[in-house]
Amino acid sequence: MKACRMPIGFAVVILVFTTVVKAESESDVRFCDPHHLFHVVIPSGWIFQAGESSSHLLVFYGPEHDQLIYIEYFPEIAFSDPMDFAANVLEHYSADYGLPKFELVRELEPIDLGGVKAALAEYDYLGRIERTECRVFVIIDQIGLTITLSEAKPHYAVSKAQFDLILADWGWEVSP
Amino acid sequence: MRLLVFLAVGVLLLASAAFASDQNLVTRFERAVGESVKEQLIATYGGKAQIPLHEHLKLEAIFNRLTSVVSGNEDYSLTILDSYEINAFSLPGGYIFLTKGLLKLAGSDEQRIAGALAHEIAHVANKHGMNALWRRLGLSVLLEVGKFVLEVTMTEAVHAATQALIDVLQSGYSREAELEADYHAQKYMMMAGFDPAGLIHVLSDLQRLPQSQEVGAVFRSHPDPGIRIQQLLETLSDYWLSPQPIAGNVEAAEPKRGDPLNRFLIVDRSPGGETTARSYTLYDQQNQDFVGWLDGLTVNDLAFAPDGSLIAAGVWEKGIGDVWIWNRQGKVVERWKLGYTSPIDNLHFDPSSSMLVYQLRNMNGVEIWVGYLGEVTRLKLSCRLDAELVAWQESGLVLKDRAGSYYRIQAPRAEPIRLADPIPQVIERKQRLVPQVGQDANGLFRLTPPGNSGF
Repeated sequence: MKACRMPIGFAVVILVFTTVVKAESESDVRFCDPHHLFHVVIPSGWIFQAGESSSHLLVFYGPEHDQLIYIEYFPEIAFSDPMDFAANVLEHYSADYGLPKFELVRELEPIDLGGVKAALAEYDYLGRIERTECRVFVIIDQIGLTITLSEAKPHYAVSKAQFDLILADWGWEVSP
Repeated sequence: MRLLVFLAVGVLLLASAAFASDQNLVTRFERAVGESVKEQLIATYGGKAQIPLHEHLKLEAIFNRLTSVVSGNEDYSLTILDSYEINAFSLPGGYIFLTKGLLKLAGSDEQRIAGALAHEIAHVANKHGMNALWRRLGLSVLLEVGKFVLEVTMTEAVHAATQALIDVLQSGYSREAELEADYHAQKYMMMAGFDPAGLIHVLSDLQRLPQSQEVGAVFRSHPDPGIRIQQLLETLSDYWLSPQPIAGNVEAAEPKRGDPLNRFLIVDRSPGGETTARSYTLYDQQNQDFVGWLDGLTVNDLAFAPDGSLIAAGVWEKGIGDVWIWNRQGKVVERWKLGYTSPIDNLHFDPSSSMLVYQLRNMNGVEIWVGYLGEVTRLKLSCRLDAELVAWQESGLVLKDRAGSYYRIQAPRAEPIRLADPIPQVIERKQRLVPQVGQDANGLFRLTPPGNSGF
């Protein structure tokens, strides 16, 4: 029995090591947010845009196309459920004064983000060009966060796959 | 003929009786007239504008705050017109319009936007459109309205009034109506938590525009913005509470002098004697020398902005007292040519560095004034207090007179707009415009602007 445990334990260690190495391979960067709420692995080629960021907004540009990820903080949020938070925002986005040519491409749905309840929606709108956004809404430590991938509509699927990897590695600095 | 006159008088009597007894009917008629002109106005001015979501929400919040303080049963609505002509309109029934051009002029200043909106709301609340309509149309429309009241036909009555209302819009309201709207607009702004000076600031922007700028003809000149600003300045002082005696210690609460960033020291270089006007300069501790930019000026008083970014001075030059404001690099950013024949002292910035209080002595005695930075607005706050010290605190402007008594002057409180629910931004990746490096015919390396291919 003891002999059997050894290879299993070894396999687990290798698996864990592989996962970490894969997530942070080459020039991937582990990014801890300035408010000490979360950490995330930023893939190689993505660059933090200090000039466009502020204390309540973090902006990253991707290496290709029109890739953009931005994270916004809302310290005084009245909502406690991310689905309510998201529904309220989408109501404004879809209103006649909202985003031009707004169209929901994926209904709002609950997801798990690093062990915390979150809400995700995908939609198209017309900015300078036709864009698709995937927006995740989460409330942690009474602070609202939106994590958004924004990309030109034709390239969205490719970028979304990268965004999914980023979300999969999402970790919290505070206990949920 | 006698029968016709009899009929007309009868209809009018019935109409007026019905109008008097049923206020809702009046409102319905006004709304119907406004509604019929609204679509034409929108079409004339390029349709409804799509403005960024956050700008829309902010505008809506300003608008709602203003309409909530207006009495009456109007159902107000705001439309932004897709036109870069600087203009604003209001129609009976509560329809308010601002052009994108006017929004651009007002920028992100909530007080300016509130000023423009409050003026248009005041036109509606004071029935300026309908009053002008009645005057223009006289008996004919009253007959039509009479029919409407008698429910013969609403369409005809509204149709008769619609064209007349368009004429009213083109020629503008009377001068009296415009001045009355300004007066009420300031009142609404004050009640809704905006600074009533905002309307003055937007009018002075209008006044400064070059003639080539596309501005609605009526909006620009009817009446002249200068006359309106003068009236608004006179009423603005009503919104500042006159000095009230208080118990307090102004020195302890806020030291008068000193650079908050501790680089410059204010040095008194007055020749001496209590009666002599003071003369100050600045010593730069970093360069260990007096600053050059005050050389040759007689500076009667100096004050630093709370964040240290600006330095104001009462400057005495050739027998004239003015206020000069520098940035920390010694560049004059504002020069208020006040032209007083006495030195200016007791300068003090407000906590947000948007206003500066100052004191002067003239034939009328001692006067305390406040000026808005970057604006034309200067306002006399008191002409009876001889302040020894002035300090601007969160509670208002605190003064200590020469007899040792303390007073407070309360400024109108402007509450910033805060959106109730957080609405995340929607941003796009900025296009990077990178200049190109290339060699010209002489072999010299040159930078060319993005998109310019030729060397």
